[in-house]
Amino acid sequence: MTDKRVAVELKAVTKTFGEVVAVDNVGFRVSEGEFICLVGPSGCGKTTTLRLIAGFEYPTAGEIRIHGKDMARVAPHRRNVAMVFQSYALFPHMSVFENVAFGLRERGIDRKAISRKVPQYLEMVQLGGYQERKPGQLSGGQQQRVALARALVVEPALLLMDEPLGSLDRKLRDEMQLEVKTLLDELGITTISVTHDQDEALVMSDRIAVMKDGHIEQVGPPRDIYEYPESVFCATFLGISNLLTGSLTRRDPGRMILTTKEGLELSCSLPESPEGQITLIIRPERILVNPSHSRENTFRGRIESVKYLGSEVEYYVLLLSGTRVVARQQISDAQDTLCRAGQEIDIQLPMQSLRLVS
Amino acid sequence: MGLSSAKLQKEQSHIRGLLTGYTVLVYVFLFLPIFVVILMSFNTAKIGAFPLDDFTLRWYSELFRDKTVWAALVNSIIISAGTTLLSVILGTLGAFALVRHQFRLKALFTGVLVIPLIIPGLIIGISLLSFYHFLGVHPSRLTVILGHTALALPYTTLVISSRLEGFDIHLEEAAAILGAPPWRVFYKVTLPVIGSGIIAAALFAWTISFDEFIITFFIMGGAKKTLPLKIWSLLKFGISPQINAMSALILVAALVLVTTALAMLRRP
Repeated sequence: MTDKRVAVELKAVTKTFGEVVAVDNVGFRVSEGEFICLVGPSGCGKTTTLRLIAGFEYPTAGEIRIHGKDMARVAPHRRNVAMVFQSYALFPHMSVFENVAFGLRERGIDRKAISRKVPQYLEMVQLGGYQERKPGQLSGGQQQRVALARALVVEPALLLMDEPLGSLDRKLRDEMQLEVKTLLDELGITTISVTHDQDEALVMSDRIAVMKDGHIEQVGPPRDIYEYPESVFCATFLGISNLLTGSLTRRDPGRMILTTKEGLELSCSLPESPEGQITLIIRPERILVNPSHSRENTFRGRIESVKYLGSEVEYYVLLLSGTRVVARQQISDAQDTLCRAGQEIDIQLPMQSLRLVS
Repeated sequence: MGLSSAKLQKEQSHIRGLLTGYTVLVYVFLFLPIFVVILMSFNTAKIGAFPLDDFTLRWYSELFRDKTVWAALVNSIIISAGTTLLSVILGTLGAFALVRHQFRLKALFTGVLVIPLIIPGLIIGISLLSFYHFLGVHPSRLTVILGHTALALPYTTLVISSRLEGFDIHLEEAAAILGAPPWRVFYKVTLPVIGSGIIAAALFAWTISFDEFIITFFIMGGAKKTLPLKIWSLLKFGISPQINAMSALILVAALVLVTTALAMLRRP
């Protein structure tokens, strides 16, 4: 990251609305060409952060720099930033062509260049031949593409996206995720996107910033955040996690024992050995169901319910100690026999899959 | 079962017949007098009475030859244009304040706005007359325009407000971030999108001003007459066929304007 040029930098940015602190001391850097996703539940400040970068709001404290330039007194129309809105915000009185041409005209680009570039970008989002339509005549997915073309055609220094796929139905959203990602990668455009959809964040981002209550919990590549969440919040917001809370009752280096409140004794190997109450997490798919050789951390339990997901199955298991865990298993063959509710099984929580979170 | 359902159907058709009859009666009551006026304007007889004589356009041509009628028409047009312009500008500004901004006593302002709609025109006329007298202002077209604007402003503000409320504020943000400075955002995006609402408001304002009688009667004094005042003065000599002709024309104009306004409001 350090070898690349910094495109956007936020330093200790805070935004308050009256008594409410919407964004609290947020700082991060985005490199040239990088795709970063701000994720978090609604009200976590992610959209406000985006609006601050766009210039629709001004920070109460802190600094926003785009290509090194302080944006404190720069109005949105002078930032050379483009944005895709959740509602698309296509101009209803203009044709698709006029919508896409809008930013170019405002930049004083000559007619010839406009009539060359607009079709080129519409082609890029697979909407060649739709130039004369009005936005009202297009489907949601098509409107989304026009919004994207309209933002990209001005070749902005930075692209902002606010829940860009939020209004599409699930199947279309899945398709668009990869398509948009590929397109933005090809153009090499720096992008900050906001979403509450964890799949979208995992699929599209180079890095994810998880936000909660106005501050950033953790920033990192999707895999780091998924595999090594730093907090319970991150572990449960992105994907599901089993939480095991207790304290260390044995702290030999390389082999420690965590005893949970319910009395479950777990062998673990942690980089440090903190005092007091700690929480370990394990992802459902890392839990082994009926392991062939039962080794350490294998416990007996009864299946309370079964959730069949097609490619996978989730077992909600009550261990003999009283601890509840979710285990997920791939279904790789049509002949695989699945366990049923009420059945007793062994599950193993492999040591290397247990992570310490704060 | 079959019998009772047949009975039910018969009963229902009775009710439907009654409803239809009632509806027709209401419309007859509303529109028959107007229809008669139009009919009489084409009748050769000088006294409006049935049975009708012959069809004629004489009253219309007499009307168009009357210079005082033309003067009143010009006067009405000037006043309506002034009222429309003023009440649309003020109404647009007011609508932006009411829809886009939060301020103290906002609910009060919104409430007060509709009061002119429920105050009798007579009271407004008297109030304006004594107010102008108090200020020492002489009756003129301007005072009439101001009076009409007071009357039309609630309509224009409310019509434009409702259009503005349905306006997606993200459209302005999208235009801004695409490089448009604020005045260009307004001119290229906001105005065209709420434009049909503004045109509708203008047509309402025009119609209100053009047809207004009571307030005009009070504050115009003996000065230049508007068309409704001209009709009033002609009425002193009884209902003449010219008056019928003029009424018919005003009616058609109002109908066209209001229909256009409603069509504008229905546009997305």
